[in-house]
Amino acid sequence: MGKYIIRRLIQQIPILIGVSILLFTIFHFAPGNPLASLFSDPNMTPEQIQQLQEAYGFDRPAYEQYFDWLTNMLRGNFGRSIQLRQPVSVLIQERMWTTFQLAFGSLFLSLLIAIPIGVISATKQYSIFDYAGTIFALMGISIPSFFFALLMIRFFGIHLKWLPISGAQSPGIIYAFPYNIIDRARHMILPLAVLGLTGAGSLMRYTRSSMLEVIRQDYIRTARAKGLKEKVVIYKHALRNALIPVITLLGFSLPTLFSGAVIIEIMFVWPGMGRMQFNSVIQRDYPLLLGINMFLALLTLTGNLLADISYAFVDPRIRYD
Amino acid sequence: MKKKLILVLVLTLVASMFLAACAPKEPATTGDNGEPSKPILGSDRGNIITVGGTNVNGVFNPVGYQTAYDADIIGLVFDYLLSWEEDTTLTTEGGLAESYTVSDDGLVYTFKLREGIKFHDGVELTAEDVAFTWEVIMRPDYKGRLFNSVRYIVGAEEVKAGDADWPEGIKILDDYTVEVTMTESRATNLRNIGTIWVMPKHYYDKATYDEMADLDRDPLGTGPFMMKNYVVDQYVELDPNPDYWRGAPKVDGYIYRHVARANELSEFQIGSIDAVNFETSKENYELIKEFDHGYLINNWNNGYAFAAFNFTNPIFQDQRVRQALVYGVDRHGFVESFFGADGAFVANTPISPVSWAYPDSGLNEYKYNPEKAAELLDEAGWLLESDGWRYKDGQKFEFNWKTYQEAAWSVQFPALAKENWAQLGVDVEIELMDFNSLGTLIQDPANKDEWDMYVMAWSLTTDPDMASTYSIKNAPPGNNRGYYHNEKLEELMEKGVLELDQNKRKEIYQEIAIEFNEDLPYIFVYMRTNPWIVNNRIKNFNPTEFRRYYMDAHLWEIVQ
Repeated sequence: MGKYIIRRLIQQIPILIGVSILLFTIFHFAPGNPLASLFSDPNMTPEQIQQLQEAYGFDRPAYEQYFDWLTNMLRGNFGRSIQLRQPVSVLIQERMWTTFQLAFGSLFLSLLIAIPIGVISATKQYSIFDYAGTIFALMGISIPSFFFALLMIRFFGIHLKWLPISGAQSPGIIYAFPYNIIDRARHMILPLAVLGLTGAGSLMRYTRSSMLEVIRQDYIRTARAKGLKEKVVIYKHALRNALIPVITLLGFSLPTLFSGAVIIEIMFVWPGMGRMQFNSVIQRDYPLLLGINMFLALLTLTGNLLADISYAFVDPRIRYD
Repeated sequence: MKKKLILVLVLTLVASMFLAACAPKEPATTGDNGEPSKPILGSDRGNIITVGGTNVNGVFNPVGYQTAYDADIIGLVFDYLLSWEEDTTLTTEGGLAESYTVSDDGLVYTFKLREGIKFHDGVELTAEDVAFTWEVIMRPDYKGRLFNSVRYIVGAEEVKAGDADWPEGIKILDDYTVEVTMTESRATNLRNIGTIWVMPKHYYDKATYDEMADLDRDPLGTGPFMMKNYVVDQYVELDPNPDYWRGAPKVDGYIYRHVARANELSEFQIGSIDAVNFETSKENYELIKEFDHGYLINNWNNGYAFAAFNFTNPIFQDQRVRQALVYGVDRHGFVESFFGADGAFVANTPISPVSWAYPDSGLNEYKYNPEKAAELLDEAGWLLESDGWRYKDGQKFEFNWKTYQEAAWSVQFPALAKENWAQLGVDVEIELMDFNSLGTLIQDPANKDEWDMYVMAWSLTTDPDMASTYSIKNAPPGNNRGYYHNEKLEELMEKGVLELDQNKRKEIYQEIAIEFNEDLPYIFVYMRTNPWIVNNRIKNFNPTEFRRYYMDAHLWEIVQ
């Protein structure tokens, strides 16, 4: 197992370099210019525009720019954002944990809703509960999250005035220990509910179909034939196997825990990665854009590795030697 | 147990959706109409003013900022060397300079600073700080937007090129006096070098421009407010400066709160912000009528939206053709239906109507007139043929129009023009791009054959000089993207910027305005309003056309 992990980690190095070349090429050849909004200042002169291109080094050949960026990155220096002027690593650190709080919370909420409903829907296929669950899942999948968010804001924030409609904390007040958590939680409820409920739908369908498949397997029939209680059959034997595809899904979702939900973060003014990433695309903020995407690429690879490792724990047929 | 929980969740979801769907009608009937004794919304925040806005980047550096939102924070923390009055006249009132003199040849400017003004760290402001602020903009590694403000100082180009360490034209005469020599006598000189935010040299003088960026979030100035706390993408909190030289602010604090564009008026409605500069739209003007805890400040926005012609395309070189295209599209109908009667008006020249440079009369309004447009096209030799399109010497009247998708007007206006022009026999092909790609495309001289028209908007500076966008000297990569070239205007614009007598300048710019109106380098589309809604508890909050809301912030007052 140890050897396997080391081998996988070493494999990641060439993959990451490949990703960096790909990302750089895509961003370099995509139309646009990180200085476009600066150049649109009505006072800009052609000479100034030339000077700025040179000051930022955008006039140099692409491969030179790439190797500069790569060598700096290998030294741990991701450069500075053009728009925000701070080091890219600082900007990511400032936002990744707020994004993680929201994303992890909503994933947890999704699982909490989706797995029980999915399992029950499968075991009681074509029952009223199953239909209700399916309708709920379809609603979750098909309702646009910004629309759902607006409804929630209107109802709970403006009409009932129960919850703040934006931000991650009350501005200008520094709360002492337990109250800061309460304040954060109050701000989190609405975005969490929107993300959790809309995300639960597809996860529930996943659990349901996977469970349906498993309970038709021979070993489930064997378990039943042995006279095991139905509860034990379902929750011990079937569920464990049914969750294997869900684990793959969770492994893939590691990067999304840090990449942020763009629309929800913008709607609720959640200070996370999604908003920053969106703005960096709009502005073609190359250093920031590349930094964020390299970070997400690393997380994707790590997520896959974690998923592969956790298979070994849930599925005894899988062994890495 | 679990089942019950799920059931409750499902029911909540369904119920909330059902109820929320009815909610949009609610504001009219709720509100505090029935209970006049209730305190004003937001009064729980006490003597602190909270302003909402959509984006702060945290670049609170007077020479490095890139957005107007960051500039507003900078304006509260720093002071200008010279301020300006509502009609844009420069004044020492509210500026760090006590007085200034200009030599007879208009080349030497001497500023005398007020004595005893202190930065927020207690160090006194001296002439050296003023000189530093100009010099830092000239440094070779400077990556900001302001070089144009100092480029006429003697020695600026040499410092920029790395050939000199200090510009010859800046001399510190004593602790409170600084003298600046310019290479050319221009009407814009004093405004360019005077309306800068003065930065403390002892704090900001770093080896590189990037190193200075490390101080972006801890700005240090002389202004009415001091930096207290910046929480990324959430809020900026400022403390009043008790030793402010114009008098301590009357409020106990200022908070800039980040709000979502879609919810900016909802935030005001529930009282979580005291003031917001909201988006101009018919719907928003309707919505604020339902608020009874705020007042509207409705200024004109300093800027205009336009559709530009590419003059390297021979089709557009005929003035009659341009006039025909303007007569041939219903701009008045468009602006009216898009912004409502109070939200915008049709622009006809690149000068703000509240500026002294705007002519009292003589502008052609170009009201929608397809017959006139057809006449002009016939005159220009573009004749209607049996297939419904116009031709001249066998060439069909067709061209492309690049526009961007981020704004609603930039999508709808070209669509309307396409429809209107098709009736005239003019065929336009519209191509949607994103804003950044469009900006990059038209900026690059290599692409001049790829586009015929584009849309965008310019903001206007306090001085009417518009050579940077209309002089052929500023053809791409400069901002005269359409290669507009009009000898008469070149001369007039040069004359306008070199003339120092205000009355004569006024005459020149009014002539320029009328010439632009006739010659039409662009299809001028609209000038819109720039509305604020402000909570009744806030007094002396006074944004005007040419003065941002942070000017005179020490006078803000909260009454409740």
